[in-house]
Amino acid sequence: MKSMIETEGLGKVFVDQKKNRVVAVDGVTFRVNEGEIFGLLGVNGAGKTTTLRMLSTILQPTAGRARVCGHDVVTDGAKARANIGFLSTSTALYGRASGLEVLRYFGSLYGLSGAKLNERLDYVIEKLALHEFKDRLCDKLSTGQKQRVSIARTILHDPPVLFFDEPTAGLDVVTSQTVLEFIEETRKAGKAVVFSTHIMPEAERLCDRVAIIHGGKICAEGTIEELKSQANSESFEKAFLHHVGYQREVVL
Amino acid sequence: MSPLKLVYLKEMREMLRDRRILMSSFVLPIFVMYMMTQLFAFIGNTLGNEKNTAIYVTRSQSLEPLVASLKAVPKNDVTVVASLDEGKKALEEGKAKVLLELPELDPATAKQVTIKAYFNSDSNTSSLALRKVETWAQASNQAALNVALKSVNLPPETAEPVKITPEDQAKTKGAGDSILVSLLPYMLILFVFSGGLSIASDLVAGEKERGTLETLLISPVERIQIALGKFFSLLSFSLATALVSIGALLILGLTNPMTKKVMFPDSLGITPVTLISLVLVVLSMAAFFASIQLWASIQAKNMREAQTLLGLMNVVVIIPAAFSQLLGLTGISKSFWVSFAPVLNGAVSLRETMLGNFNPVGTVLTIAWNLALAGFALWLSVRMFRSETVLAKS
Repeated sequence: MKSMIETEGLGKVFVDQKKNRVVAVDGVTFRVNEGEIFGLLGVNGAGKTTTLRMLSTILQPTAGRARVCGHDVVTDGAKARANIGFLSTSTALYGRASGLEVLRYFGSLYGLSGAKLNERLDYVIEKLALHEFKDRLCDKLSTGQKQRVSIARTILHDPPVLFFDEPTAGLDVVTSQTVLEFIEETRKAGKAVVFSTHIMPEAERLCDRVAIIHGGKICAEGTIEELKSQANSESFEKAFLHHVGYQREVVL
Repeated sequence: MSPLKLVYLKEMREMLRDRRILMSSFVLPIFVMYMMTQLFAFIGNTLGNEKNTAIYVTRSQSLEPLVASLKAVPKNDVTVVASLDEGKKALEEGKAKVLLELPELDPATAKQVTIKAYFNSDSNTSSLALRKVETWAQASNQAALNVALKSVNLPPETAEPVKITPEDQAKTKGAGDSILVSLLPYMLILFVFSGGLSIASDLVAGEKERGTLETLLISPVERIQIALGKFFSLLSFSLATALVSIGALLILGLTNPMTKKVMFPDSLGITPVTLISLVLVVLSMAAFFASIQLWASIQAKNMREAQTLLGLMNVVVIIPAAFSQLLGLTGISKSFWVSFAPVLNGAVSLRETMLGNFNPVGTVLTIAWNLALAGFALWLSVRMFRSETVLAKS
């Protein structure tokens, strides 16, 4: 299988306002193949979002390297970005534009035009059932409707690589279900997907392989079953806690 | 369509859909212009309809002919009071603009009459009334002198061995004192800057806050195209605001005869060449303002921080712009260094051009320097767009 994402010793150090070094990501190495959903699991602040931001060229790595579809994220950022679809709760829509206008805008920015753009617009509108509200201003849409427009924006240019950074955060059960079903479909379409979450059932349902990230480092990697087996646990949640070194504090 | 054009058109569309922005950039300036022209019309009317000057004089039987001569001056409203205290009270209450204390004396023996004039220097109308009384006294003295000279067979010129006849050499006679020449450079600067003010904070800092900037930066578009698209939209909006404001000023000012008389002297030094230079100077200043406003919006972590930063910038811009109204009192317009003083250079260039003193070298230097500064600020903005600091959040 073709490797679509490769990271080698990827690291990111921030310098805070008091000039202290804060290590957010430390020596992260993994590969993601086409048609695979790779989970990045970790607690809040573990380094998941920073890793995805480096892969999407928003942040510059301070160590190591990463390639998306063979393009180095530092030296060949624009080409890497052209192959990426990114969805997170922080990638918002323009409130004063309609859903269709947002899609048309981003489609054009990704180099689509004319018949090709219209064809892709028809596809995502049909696929995500945007007919009813595509002409409404994004400010007037419900959270679920916004998320559907965001998904449409993410896949409009048909990228081979997709990043989902806690895509169900803040969504209701029905909308979350739509998002998860959509991610499952992308695997069938042969996309390479990195799915970042801290919700164990979502990871169990979707991920072919998982990397558990903690304190900026990958502390375990494998299939769900492999990780459970390494932790001698039937529950994936307990396996996760085992891998991140969680110890229950007992107060006598 | 190029990504730059896409970003530009999207920003313009979004701004034009924001009622808040439309209000502050177009409706408010038109309203301000309306108020201003009405105010000038009122001032013009007040100055045009000179009221009677209330002059109070203390009673003096011996100087009644003098009082009669004062009453004979047109628009003098002379009131005779019984005592000085009564007159002072009237002056204090504003009923009297000037109070003359007339002595009792013997006209047969008196060589000179000394009249004490009480006035209130805090009041412009009182000072003007004093000047009117002094002019009357001067005219009375001249008449008396002429009679005396005639009695000894001497011509009136004997008392005026040196006579000065003023000859105005200004290219735009009287325009230097016009309200338009004093105000227009200041207002142009203000409108061009404030036109961008309402949208600059939203352009980058607002997008950071709402999370839409991240969506945009993940697209494969070169960051320079995003920065330039935003810059040109800011520039267009600033110029549009300035154009609407100046258009409103011209339409409202020229359609009211009184405002036209007060604000637009016939002798302004505007020719096709100077008009082009005015437009280029305004364009260069707009480019400079848009570039620093964009830079400030990138620097800020959120809308509030951007608004604070832009507010401070506004003060920095207003000071030299306000000073430009006093340029006529200084000699710095001709100084070489002025061309390199941001904001002030534009104000000087606009003022001098309107006065018919078009200085091609100074104007070219001003335009070139403003564009160089704009280029530098834009370069800094593009640098920030290319680095991850553009997304820094609070």
